[in-house]
Amino acid sequence: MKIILTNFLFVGALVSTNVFAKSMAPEISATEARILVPMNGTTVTAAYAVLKNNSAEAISLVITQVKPFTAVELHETYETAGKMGMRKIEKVLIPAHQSFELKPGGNHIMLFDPTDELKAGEIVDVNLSANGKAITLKFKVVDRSETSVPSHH
Amino acid sequence: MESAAAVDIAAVGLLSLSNASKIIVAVLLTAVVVVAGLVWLKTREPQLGGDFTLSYREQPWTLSEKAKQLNLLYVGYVKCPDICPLSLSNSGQAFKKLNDDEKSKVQLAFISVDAAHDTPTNVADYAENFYSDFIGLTGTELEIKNAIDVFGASFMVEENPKSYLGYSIAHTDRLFFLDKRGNVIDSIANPRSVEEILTKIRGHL
Repeated sequence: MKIILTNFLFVGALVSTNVFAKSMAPEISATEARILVPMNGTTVTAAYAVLKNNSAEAISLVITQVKPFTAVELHETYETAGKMGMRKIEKVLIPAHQSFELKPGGNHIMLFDPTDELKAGEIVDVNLSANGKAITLKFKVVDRSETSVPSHH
Repeated sequence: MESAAAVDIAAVGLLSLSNASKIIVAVLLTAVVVVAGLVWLKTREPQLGGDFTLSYREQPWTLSEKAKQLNLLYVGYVKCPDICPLSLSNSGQAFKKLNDDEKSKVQLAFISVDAAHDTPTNVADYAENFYSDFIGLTGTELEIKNAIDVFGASFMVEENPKSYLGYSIAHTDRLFFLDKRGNVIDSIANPRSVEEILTKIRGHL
């Protein structure tokens, strides 16, 4: 009887921990999360968001999959000899309680070759790895005209 | 008699001296003008611009034949997911703010530098996403290089085997404003503002 009670209390503690964990803010949250509808003539597009690290430790984010795209990468924009270019980066590191902005003209998510048509208003799961743990963020599909455009570079 | 002769000799000498001075002054002035001209030639800003022919929907498109009062030019490529669409989107939004009279006097040509992957059809389709009258052009690699070189634009294809595409292209991110003869009369680096583009267009019409 004593053993049963102990086990009951232990399981109860686990449930309480999970409930507590679920009630906390997620480790990574996204605002202004949007994927631009791919345009005629091209099979690539971009996604942007403000990613917030709500935890007390730095988080390394790796993008893993976004359906229905065949491939997805994190990209950074750089300047060389008066020319602008973009290149793949493996991950972004967001310090504890800090934000990281994926924005037009800067770091962004690049998405390749969708296998299905995407329409404005759809919600798409963006799958990432946060310090090795799988997480999913919701991104809204928007027309390019709906995305914010910074006034200056 | 002797004194009169002396006066004549002095007068002739003075006259001769005066002519010599004039010649010297003329030579000096000429030298100054030539040197100033050489200095100006060496230090002046080179005039960018010129004519080119590329392909628009499989048909030749020559700037000197199609030029309007004001012609905007942007260089990029269709699989550029961020920089090109942002610049073209801002340009398209600026064009949409023009009145009909202004629209009739200005056009924008987008030159794809990705000769290996972009076709005249998909470049034209791509450009029209941003504004229905934008003109998407491309050609062979040599034709493209020759076309954009006169405007001081350039690009560099970079192999990137770790990326899904396998390559990326670094390119000039500048919106050029050309007059009817194709001369560059203005430009905006990193054309990130609709209002700036609109102001420049109206300023040149």
